[in-house]
Order: sequence, then C-alpha cells, then structure tokens
Amino acid sequence: MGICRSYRSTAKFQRAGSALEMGFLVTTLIFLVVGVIASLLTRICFNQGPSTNLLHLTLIITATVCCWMMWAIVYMAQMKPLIVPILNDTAE
Amino acid sequence: MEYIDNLPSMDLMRSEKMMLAQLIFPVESAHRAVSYLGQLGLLQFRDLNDEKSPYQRTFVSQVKRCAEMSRKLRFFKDQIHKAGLMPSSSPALQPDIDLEGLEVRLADHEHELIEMNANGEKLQQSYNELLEFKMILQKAGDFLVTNGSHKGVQETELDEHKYTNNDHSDTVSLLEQAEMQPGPSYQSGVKFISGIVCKSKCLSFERMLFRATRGNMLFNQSPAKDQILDPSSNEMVEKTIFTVFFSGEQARKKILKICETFGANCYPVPEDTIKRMQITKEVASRLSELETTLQAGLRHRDMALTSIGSQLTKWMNMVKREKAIYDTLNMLNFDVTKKCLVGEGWCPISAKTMIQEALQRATFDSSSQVGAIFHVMDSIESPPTYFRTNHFTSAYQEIVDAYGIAKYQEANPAVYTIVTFPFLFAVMFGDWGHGICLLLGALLLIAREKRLGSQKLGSFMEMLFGGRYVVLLMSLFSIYCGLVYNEFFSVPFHIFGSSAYKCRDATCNDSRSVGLIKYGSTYPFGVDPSWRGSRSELPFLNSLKMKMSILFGVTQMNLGIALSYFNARFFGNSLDIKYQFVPQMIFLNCLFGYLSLLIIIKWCTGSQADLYHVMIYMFLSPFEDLGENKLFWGQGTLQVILLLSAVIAVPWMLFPKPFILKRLHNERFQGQSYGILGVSEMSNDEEPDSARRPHIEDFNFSEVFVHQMIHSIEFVLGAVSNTASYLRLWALSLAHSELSTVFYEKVLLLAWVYDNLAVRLVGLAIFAFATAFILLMMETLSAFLHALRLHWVEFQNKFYSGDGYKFRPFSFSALADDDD
Repeated sequence: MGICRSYRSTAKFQRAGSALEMGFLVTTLIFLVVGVIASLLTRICFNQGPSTNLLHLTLIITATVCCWMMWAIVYMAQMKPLIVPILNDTAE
Repeated sequence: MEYIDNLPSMDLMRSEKMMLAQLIFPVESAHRAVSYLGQLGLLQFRDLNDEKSPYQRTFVSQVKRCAEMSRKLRFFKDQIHKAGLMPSSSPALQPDIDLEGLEVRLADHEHELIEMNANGEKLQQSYNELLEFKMILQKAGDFLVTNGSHKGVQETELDEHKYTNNDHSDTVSLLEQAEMQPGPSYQSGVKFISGIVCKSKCLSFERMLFRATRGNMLFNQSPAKDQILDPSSNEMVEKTIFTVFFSGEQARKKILKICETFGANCYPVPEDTIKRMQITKEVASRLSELETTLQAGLRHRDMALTSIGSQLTKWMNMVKREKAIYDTLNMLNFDVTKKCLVGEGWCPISAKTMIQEALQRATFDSSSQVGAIFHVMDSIESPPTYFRTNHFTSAYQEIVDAYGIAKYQEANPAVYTIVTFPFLFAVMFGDWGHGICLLLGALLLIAREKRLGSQKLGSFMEMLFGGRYVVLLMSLFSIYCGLVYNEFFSVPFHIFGSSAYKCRDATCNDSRSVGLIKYGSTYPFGVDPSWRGSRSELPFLNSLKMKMSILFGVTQMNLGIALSYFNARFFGNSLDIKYQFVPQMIFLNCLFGYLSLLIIIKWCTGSQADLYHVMIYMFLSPFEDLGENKLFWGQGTLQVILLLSAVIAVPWMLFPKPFILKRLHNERFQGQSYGILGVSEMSNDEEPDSARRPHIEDFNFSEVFVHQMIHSIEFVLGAVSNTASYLRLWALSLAHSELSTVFYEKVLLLAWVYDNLAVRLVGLAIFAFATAFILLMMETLSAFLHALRLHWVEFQNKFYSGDGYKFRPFSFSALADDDD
C-alpha cells in the first residue's frame, strides 16, 4: 500500500515537475533559437569585417541574455507562488 | 586561455592603436601640406611652442589678419540679419580667391556698407522730423484757430521771419531753427510754441511747464494718430502734439529748456492759416521726395547685401580654415637651418598611408624640391583615445565619455552600454503602450534625419535628435518589458493565453477573502493578468521586482569585474588578476551571488524560507540550525564555507599587492641609484624631446598602501551599497505603474462612466495630456537618469579608470561644427 502511494506521488511529482519545467525549457529554447537566427541574419545582412561582426554578435548575445533573464525571472516567480490574487471588494 | 588571445579584436572594445609621428615640412610646402592634412582630419598636432605667448609665435600677423577678416564677415552677417534678408548659399563653385584678394574685397565692402548705413540714418532722421512737423501742422492748426483773436501784427512779422528761415536753411535741422528764432523783445503779446512729446511724459511735462511759468500758460494737447519712430531710441512710440501759449521772453527761454529736457521736439508753426497750408503742402512734397530717396537707398543697400550674402558662407569657411592652418603652423618649430618646419602629432596607425599620400600630394602641388618627411617616434606619454564610431554608436560613446574618456586601450564600457542602458531604462519604464508612443517619436526623428541634421535646433531638440537611436532602442526594449509586465497604459491583456488562476469553487465566494488558486500551468509569458486590481497585487509585484533588481544588479556587477579581468590580461598585469580580480569575485559572489542563488531556489521550490533571516543570521550565528529557513541540503555547511571565503578575500585584496609592488620596484631600479650622476650629464647633449625623456619615479610605499586600502574598502562597502542601489529599478518601475494606474482609473474611467460626450472628451483630453507630459516626458527623463547613474557608478567603478584624453585631430569638418 505504502509503495503504491509513494509510486503515485512520485508519478504526480514527475508529471507536475515536468509540466512546470517543460514550459520553462521550451521557452528558453525558443529564446536560444531566436538569438541564433538573429545573429545569422546580422552576419548575412551587415557583414562588415571580422571585428565589426564580433561586435554585432556581442550585442545580439547581450540583448538575448537580457531579454531571456527578464522573462525567466518573471516566470520563475510565478511557478510556485506563496500568495494568490485576492479580488477587490468592488470587482472590475 | 589562448583561445581568448586568438579571438579577433572587437571593433569598439579598445581604442585604435595610435602612434606618435614626427613630420618635417619644407617651408614652401608647409601651408599646403597642413591644409591637406586638415582635409584628411586624422592627425592631432602637439603644441611644441607651449611656453610661448600668442604674440611670440611665428605666424602671429597672419592670425591677426584672419581675425580682422572674420570680424568684418561677422559685421556683414549682422547687417544681413538686421535687413531681414535670407543668406542664400552660393549656387556653384566659384574659382578660389586667395587670401590677400579676399582681404581687399572685404575692406571695400565694409567701407561701402558703413557709408550707406550712415547716409540712410541721416535720411531717416530728416524723414522722421518732417513727419512730426506734418502732424503738428495739422493738429496745431486746430488750436490756433480758437486762439486766433489774440494775435497782433507783430506776430505776423514773426511768422514771416520763421517762414523765410525755412526756405533758406535747408541743411540745418528744423529743431535748431526753432531755437534760433530771434524773438523780438517785447513784453506783451501771446506767443506759442508747438511741438510733439512722448505720451508717457506728457503729464509731467505739463506740470513742469505750469510750475515754471507760474501758471501763466495755456497748454493744449491732442494725441497723434499714428505711432512715430523716435529717431533717438529707434522705437515706435505714441506721441502727443501740444501747443503752449505764453507771454514774455523769460517764459519762452524756460519753456524751450523744459522742452529740451523732456525730449519734446518743437517745430515752428505759422499762425496764419494760408501760410500754414502752404507749408503743409511743401512739407508733404518733401516727405514724398524723402520717401523715394529712402526706398532707393534701402534697395541699393539690399542689393549690395545680397551679393555679399551669396558668398558669405564660402568666405567664412575660407577664413576659418586659414586661421586654423596658421594656428597649426604656430604649433610647429623652425628647424636649425630655418628652412624646415618640424612638427609632432598623434595619428592612428591605420592612417599612416593616407597621411603619407597627402604629404606627397602637397609636395607635388606646391612644386617643392624636397619632400616632406614622416616617421614614427617612440613615446612614454600615453596616447589619446580614439574610437571609430558611426551614427548609431556615437551617441552611446558620448554617454560613456561624459563620465570620463577611456584610458588608452582599456576596455570600453560602451560596447555593453549599447544594450544594457536601454534595457535597464525599459525595466523602469515597462509599459508597451508608452513604449509604442516612444517608438513613434523615435521613428519620426530618424525618418527626418537629413532635414533635421542640417537645421539649427534648440538645445533640447538637439539632445533629443542626437540620441535618436538611443531612444529607438529604449522604446523597443520598453515594448518588450511592457509585454512582460503585462501593462498597456496599465491595462493587462490576455495575449498569451488564459490566466492561471481561477476561483476555488463555482460560487467564487472566497475570492474576496482567501483568493483564487493556481490551477494550471504558469502563464507562459509575463505577469498573469489576474493580478491587476487584486488586493495582493502590490505585495506580489514588490517581491518580484525587488528580487529581479538584485538579480540584474549582481549580473551587471559580475560583468564589470569580468571586464577588469580582461583589462588586466590585456595589459599583462598578472598582479591585478591574482590579487584583485580573484578576491573581488570571491567576495561579491560569496555574499550576493549566494543571495541570488537563494532567490532562484526559493522560486523553484516554493519554500517559505525568509531570505532576510537567512542572510543576516549567516553572519550573526553561522553555526546555528536553520530550521524552517532551510532551502536545500547542506545549506548550513555551504554558508560557513562562503562566509569564511568572503572574510579571507578582504585581506587578500588589501595586503599582498603593495608589498609585491615594492619588491618589484626595488628589483627594477636597484642598479640605477648609483648611475644618477652619469645620466644627468648625458641628458644635456640630447635633443629636448619631451615625450622621450625617461624619468625615475620614486616609490612611496605609504601612498601605494593607502591607495590600495581605499580601493579595497570602496569595493567591500560598495558591494553592499551598489547592490542596494539597484533597487531603484524596482522603485521607478513601481512609481511608473502606479502613476499609470491612477491616470487610467481616476481620470479616464471616471469620465467614461458618464454618458455625456463632452465629459468623455474632456476626460480623454486630460488623460492624454497627463500621459504625454508626466509619463512620457518626465518619467522618461527620470528613468534615463537613473539608468545612466547605474551605468556610470555601479557598473563602471568595477573596472573603468576613465582618465584618458580624447583624440582631437586637426580637421576642417570639426571646425565647421565648433564655431557654429
């Protein structure tokens, strides 16, 4: 009995865990892909020599990392919230 | 590690490599060579005649001539401006005039203009007087008709006298005529003086006359119809025409003096009506003559000014360039043989071929026998810093330079500032509605780039136009952050799917007491829209934004320290790496990096640990049991290890470096303390080359130690204060969100409740104004300023020394920007 319960709880944990982490991982992958595509596009359209290309790459990597961090922070803060929305008395 | 060394250099990261060059020109080609170098704009001359005053330099007379010519040109520009003409640009390239010819022409034009102006003034003055006389004649006629019965025969003689005076003395001003009247000296009979005075002074004038004549006078006045140009003050004033009736010679003298004091102009008006009408006709005809003369004069002057104006910009540019060339030539030294000029200058190494080619062209064009010599010199002095920027990056480079110019070849924070500055701005400004407004503004400025670039803008518009690409990036990141915060003029949207929260049961009874629950997966992008308007919105958002600020702060500070590592590696300073970079990294990350880790773990596990408690008790009682504040296994041990590492890091960054520096200095200069006498004898024979003179520094140990101590204390205390400083990201973002909410709810929604269209329109207008001025302008400036401060202080003090000087080449295009 105990083994079944623990098996079910671990399964739930795995499902819940995977549900939580899947969204995070998928979107992180999307950010990565967007960053790679952006750098490739910049290399194709604005090819101006190796030093300038490196500068463009740095800029795109910095921008991608900043945007990803912003999204990830807000996402992680909402994954397991400690407080929930309590509606106002005069509801909108 | 070699991989890092083998990477190609990045464009904006470090200053271009500069070299000190020595140039030797033969005298005949010097002027032309400097002119070509000015067109190229890649060489910064060093002033070799620093000690000499401006009057001791070689080419001082030419400089004076150029200054005199530019004074004349400014005079022309002034005159053109006063005449209200538009200076037009010259249509085609006219053949080059040389400097002496230009000088002569300018002198001629000036003489001509001054003469025309003087004549014009004189004519204008007579015109004004005649105009006043005409008005007086009209008005005074009315006064005299009423008083005509008092006239005697003697006065008609007086009038004829006046009248004949008018005919014969044309060149004398009418004002003087009125005073020159030799009045017949009889005591009886009423005489009068008529004139015109400023309306503002009329009352006190009348009172003064009354007192002076003891009341024995009659004062008639009536205002003039039109305003008159007062010849002395050159303004249009309102005047009053008056006639004073008095008796006695003494009274007349007094009245004339009073008229002079008050600036009232007196004119001789004949009493006889017929004579008056004759004089009026004469005056009218003279007026029209004068008018035509004046018009002709003005036309002539305008033509002259237009012909000057079309060439004015070209001449001004030429004179500016010549002055600049002579200023530069003044910086050069004459060679011993007096046949060559020797100069020194900094230039980028990449520009060497271009400079040599310009020098060759100058030799060829001036048909000189000897070519100019250009060779590289060594120098001890630090070269100027030169970054090659384009339209886009120059604004960011200026932002960084405003704090301090980078030392030669140290890492340039502008590379990262291009992205992080607009990003931190957006964190504080996040609202995609406002972001779209900013984007439209930025696109407008960029679309009108060419037109606005050639215009002369006010200082505020110029700053805004100069930073148009910064504003563009700021707006794009604002739109992104607005989507993450889920605020569109403070209204949340369900763009990315449905909310993750719902009522606990179907009746939604406890939604106002206990709240909703999270039933599904997290809202995929940004803040869940259910939070807006709830009672627990602020606690949630505050917690989120504070932790976000700490995370961003720790990341940016780590980036700063990493850049200091790359600097130390580039300059080969392994001492800095071992005894500054490593302990700094350890200290910052053991404390605040650990805090960031705790934040992330708390979010991921949903634990209820109190992070304040954890951090504070890590210091106060590190060996106590954590209890409910335990976030992961092994936390207690890890905390002790981190605390010990941080404590060791402080003396690690404080003590070793000064002692090792002292040892290195002793090793390097050990043998030289005996050779000082020999060195000083030899230095007298060498050429005084300022940049090449080596000097032995003495090593002041206490100074170095105190410097290191200050640096370490600054870092240790700064670690806490700078991390807290990043909380302004939270504060401004909260302020923006609250302001936006207030305007939306208390202005727009309030006005929308009423069904009346007028009320709704007024509400919409107030909302638009409040948004535009308070949120879009004031908040933008505020967030800009705080993002700037975060970069200048918290980011740059980890690695930036900023004590270099900027490369200012001798360039004609820079001249054009400077003087305007």
